[in-house]
Amino acid sequence: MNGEYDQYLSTFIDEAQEYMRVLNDKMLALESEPENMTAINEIFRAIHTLKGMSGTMGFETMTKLCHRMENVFDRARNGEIEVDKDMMDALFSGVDHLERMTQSIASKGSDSGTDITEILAVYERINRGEKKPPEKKPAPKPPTVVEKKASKSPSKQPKTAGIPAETGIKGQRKEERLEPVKQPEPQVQGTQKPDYSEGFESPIPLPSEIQNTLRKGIEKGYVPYYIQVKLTSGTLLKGARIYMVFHRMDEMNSEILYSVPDVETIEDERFDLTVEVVLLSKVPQEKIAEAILNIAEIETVKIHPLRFFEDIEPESTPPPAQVVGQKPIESPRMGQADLEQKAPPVEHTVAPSGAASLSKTIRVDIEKLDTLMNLMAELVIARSRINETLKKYNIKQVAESLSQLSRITLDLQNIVMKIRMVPVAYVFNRFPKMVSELSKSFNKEVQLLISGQETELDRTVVDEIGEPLVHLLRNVIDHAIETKEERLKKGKPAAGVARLNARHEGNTVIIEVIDDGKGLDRDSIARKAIEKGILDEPTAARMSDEEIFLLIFLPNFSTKKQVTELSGRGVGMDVVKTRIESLNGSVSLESVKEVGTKVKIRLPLTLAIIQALLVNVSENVYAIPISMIDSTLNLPIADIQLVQSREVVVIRGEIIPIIWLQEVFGLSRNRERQSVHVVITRVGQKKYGFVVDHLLGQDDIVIKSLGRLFKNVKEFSGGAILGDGRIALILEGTTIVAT
Amino acid sequence: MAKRVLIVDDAAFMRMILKDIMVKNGFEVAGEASNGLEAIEKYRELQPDVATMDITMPELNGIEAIKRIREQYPNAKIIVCSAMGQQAMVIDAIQAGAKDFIVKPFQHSRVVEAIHKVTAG
Repeated sequence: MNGEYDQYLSTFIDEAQEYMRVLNDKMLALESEPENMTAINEIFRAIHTLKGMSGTMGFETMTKLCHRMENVFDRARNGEIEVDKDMMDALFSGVDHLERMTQSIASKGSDSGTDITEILAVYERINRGEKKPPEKKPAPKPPTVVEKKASKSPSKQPKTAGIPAETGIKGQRKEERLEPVKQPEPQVQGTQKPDYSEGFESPIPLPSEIQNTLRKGIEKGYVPYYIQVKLTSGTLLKGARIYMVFHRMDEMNSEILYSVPDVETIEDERFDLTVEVVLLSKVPQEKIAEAILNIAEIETVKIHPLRFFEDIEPESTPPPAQVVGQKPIESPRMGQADLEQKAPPVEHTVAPSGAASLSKTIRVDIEKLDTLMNLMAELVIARSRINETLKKYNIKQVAESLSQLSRITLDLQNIVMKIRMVPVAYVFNRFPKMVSELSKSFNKEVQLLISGQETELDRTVVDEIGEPLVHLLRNVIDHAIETKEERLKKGKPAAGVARLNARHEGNTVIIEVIDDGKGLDRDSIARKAIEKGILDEPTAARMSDEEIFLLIFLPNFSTKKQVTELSGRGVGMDVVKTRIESLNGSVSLESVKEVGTKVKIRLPLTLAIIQALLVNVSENVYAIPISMIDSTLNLPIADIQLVQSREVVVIRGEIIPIIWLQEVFGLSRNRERQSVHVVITRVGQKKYGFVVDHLLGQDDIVIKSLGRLFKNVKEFSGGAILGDGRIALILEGTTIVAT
Repeated sequence: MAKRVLIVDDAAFMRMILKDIMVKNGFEVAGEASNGLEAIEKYRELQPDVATMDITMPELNGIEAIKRIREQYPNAKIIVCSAMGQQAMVIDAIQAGAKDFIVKPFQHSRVVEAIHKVTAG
């Protein structure tokens, strides 16, 4: 890679990843809607930009791959090839390769080591318009460069039949292209010089038609020139470069009559560096040379007038009368001035307006955001301390400014949190592709249904959940969903369904992976556990289904007999569980045999600051996240009823179980009071009433982990330092309800 | 006086590379734009000596932008930035009035040459 660009590497990787996301998104859109031109165009643009970027960085393999993918899209865009499954598969696989390369660039600084020969051959085949060969054959041909671009709309051709030379360069189809040499013979009457057989003294041999045209030009006051243009070595897009030269000549009202090599060859870039041209012009040769030299990448220009063998001075020949007011050879091409005035509306196939899918963003190192978050946390604590102090002195003016400060910090806090939030789509997006590939390799039909991908989560959490989810989905495809035959035998639809749902639930985000496969087999799990010595038979018999199912989260527990490449190495579910728990999340599992399995992951929305209600229970302060709270009320003891030996209260017709926090914490219940404070909280879909001693008020708290020492304490999701220096434990509703 | 350049490209990365080349070679970067519409606006506002213009961009592509800029400023000097294999588009751009083109991956010397030549002519 070019050493000079090292400093741009991280920007390159960031931006490349962003484009890769766009690619994935849009390709999925295209897959479901093959006619979607907007998607094709956006894909084209993303690929194209990637190509330019990787080329600049000197990542040749990546550039090459992008180039081929771009070719495919270009042809699809022009309607020359159809967007079908075969093509999409090949392109998805291309994006995969690109992702791998980007990763390799990020880790090793190089894109080498990715073999793209096979995929290039597939693109080659698609570009030729061939379908997938029925049997898996090795790629028919080593890839050769398909540099020839698809043809553009011919309406843009300003040419009719006048100037042969630069016409074809525009990339017309071959059959439409004008023969460069066939100059329509103008009808000339009363020719003074009937015998031109000896022709011009030209460094390149000229066909007789060209000689005739030259003579006519001369008669009309033009000077024939021989021009040799040499490009700087290493020039890219040589064809366009020469077109530029021709264009410049054309702007000077000069006519190119002949070129070596011919236009088609120039267009295909099948020439070295030199192009020779015969030109008719009235512009002095120095001016022509200067104009051409003013184009970049032109090394030398040689120009001299052509002379007749018969030594006729062309300058002396023209009869002046004939020149007046008209061009000798009518050029149907529009002059530059015409072009500017008229600016003909030309349809472009590139970049439809309003399709910008990249929002304006700046990239910030996540560490800086972490620091910002920490400072924010400190600020919140400092504010709470002022608040505490103020309670003692009660200064009205300070209280007012403090409440303003509170509002500002709250806004600030929200913004900081939002900055860190990204939609789970960020990880979900790669799953459709993965599932379709996996199901192919397992020879199963699986349909993936995703919902709630707009649910937002803290960036650090999102980064971490990818891998566990990959694992769960692999399990679904490998273990849970049956083969097509089995499914049909069981009366299930042939295609299995895997669902991936995300949603907010209070202060947490729930992600569920649900399948309609065979479900967990209680007996086989129990047997396995007994074999492994985890359980003895009587214990196993006593355990509920749920308890048995939880065994699969134990390390080294795998029931699949055959170990496959992707799942079933026995390092599955326990890794998922550990990973989720390290994020302060939890995993639960429900399964019904032959109906399916649901794995439910609960994740905290953020790892940082929350609003909480502070309550007193037996002299200690506890925090209940506001998001969990439905309402608070002062409840007369008499209203508490016993239903099936559980204490409940009926509020607005709803039966709500009552939980005495003192008892949960192993403290004795204070029974002397006539009434108690109850905090009605929402846990999952249900409501519970937590009995507390006092309500202290609402505050922002900064969640701090309890640390390793207390990792078995499940009743609290963390602790927080209060303004007065005391510590409040944060209640974890789910576990408290379960106890 | 340093020649003033407007850089138009939708990829921030490419703009950065070009900017770097410009600054190192004594040109002044008058401004940047990330799509065709923005390019037209910036051109009007900054009236640079020369503009580099990417072709494939959102909102409005480079070719269309060149046309619209040259409608208002017939002497506008615009250099198209193209990638390999975009021959047809480069030719469209030249017809639209681009004065020259440079090819990605950019080579410093060639970019500098193009700007010098275009601003001299």
